[in-house]
Amino acid sequence: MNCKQFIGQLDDYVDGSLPPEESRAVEIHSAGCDDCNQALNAHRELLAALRGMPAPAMRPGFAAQALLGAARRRRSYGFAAGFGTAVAAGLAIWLVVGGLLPATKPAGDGDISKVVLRLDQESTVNIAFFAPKQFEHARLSILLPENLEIPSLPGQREIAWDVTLQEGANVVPLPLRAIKHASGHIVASIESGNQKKVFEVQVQVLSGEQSRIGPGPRPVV
Amino acid sequence: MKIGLFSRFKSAAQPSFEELLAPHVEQLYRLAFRYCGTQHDAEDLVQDLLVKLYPKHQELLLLDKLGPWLVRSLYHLYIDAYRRQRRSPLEYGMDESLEVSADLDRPDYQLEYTELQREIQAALDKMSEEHRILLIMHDIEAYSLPELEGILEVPIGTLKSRLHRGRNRLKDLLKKGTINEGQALFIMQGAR
Repeated sequence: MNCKQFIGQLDDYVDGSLPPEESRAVEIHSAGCDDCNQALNAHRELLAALRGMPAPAMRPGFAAQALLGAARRRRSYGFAAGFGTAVAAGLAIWLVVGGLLPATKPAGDGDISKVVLRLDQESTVNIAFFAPKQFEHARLSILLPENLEIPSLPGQREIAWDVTLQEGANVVPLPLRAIKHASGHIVASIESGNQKKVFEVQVQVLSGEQSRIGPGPRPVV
Repeated sequence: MKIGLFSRFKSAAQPSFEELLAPHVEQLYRLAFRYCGTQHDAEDLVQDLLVKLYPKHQELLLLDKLGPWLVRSLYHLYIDAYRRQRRSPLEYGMDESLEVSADLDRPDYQLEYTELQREIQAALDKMSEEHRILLIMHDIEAYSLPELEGILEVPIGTLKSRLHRGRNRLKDLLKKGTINEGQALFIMQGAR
């Protein structure tokens, strides 16, 4: 066995998948070649470090919470995860901003809910879509009125991305900042195949102390 | 009353969803953490898997080997849904928002890595998903190639060559001297 052959068999050797006679050949070569012996030790060191990579223990109570939550929640992983949110974090944000909730239930096109925001204040508006069944490969588009912007995407009024629409509630946590004292509509559309549904959320921007939602908070579970 | 009795009988005869899945949640979480890199996203991924599985309780009861099936389901969920959704144009904006509610006691902030493991983690983050996942499952989580053949639905021969390339890529990404002098020898001898 030469050095090139040794290197070629190193993975199989350390993984224990070489036949005995080939393993023996690797060991004989390693014993007589300082370079390859060092390479073998380095390889073992790397694999040992990989095997020992730390991972956190589960948060106490998470398993029970997740299992019980599975029975209750009909939430949309796709939408929420699209924004990098966890279940708990998403709910926390929801609560922190005072329960802004323009629930747009697809009872029919033109279904309108109302959001009232305060000028220059950032808020997360959770838009919930309710789907009667799962739609894969759907396209979600959101068009903002000129009095709103997404803080991370200033100046961009239209965003669109691919989603999987789950049966039940699908939540889009939309971070918004009111930049003009005016009214307008957020227009959200879902397109899947040749089907398309358009929803509108009326937005009013006030300079007063409070912002609130028209119909009141609605749990998305 | 009859319903109550029937429910207890049914419970004794068949494990509930919670009873069936509870023994597997920790392993699923651990894998999800490996995939996602944070406790927060790992919890999200596991929660979503459970939400999806809940309506399939009866089907799960029929599986011979639930553990590997769950691992495969988690993997597909991560690949098919999570990664695609992460391309949302709002991702970064929401991440900034989440920092406000982040739990500073999150375990992933407190993990004790050796210097080499920090370098490895940084290198893994730069690797292709194909290689990264395989190294995570084989070299970190110790799944065997036959197990991974079933989980990843890739032939063993392909997995072996992919593992070999993945390890070489990892070595390439690690800084010179991180492992020890032998690392340079890998590169030199591999070129012979």
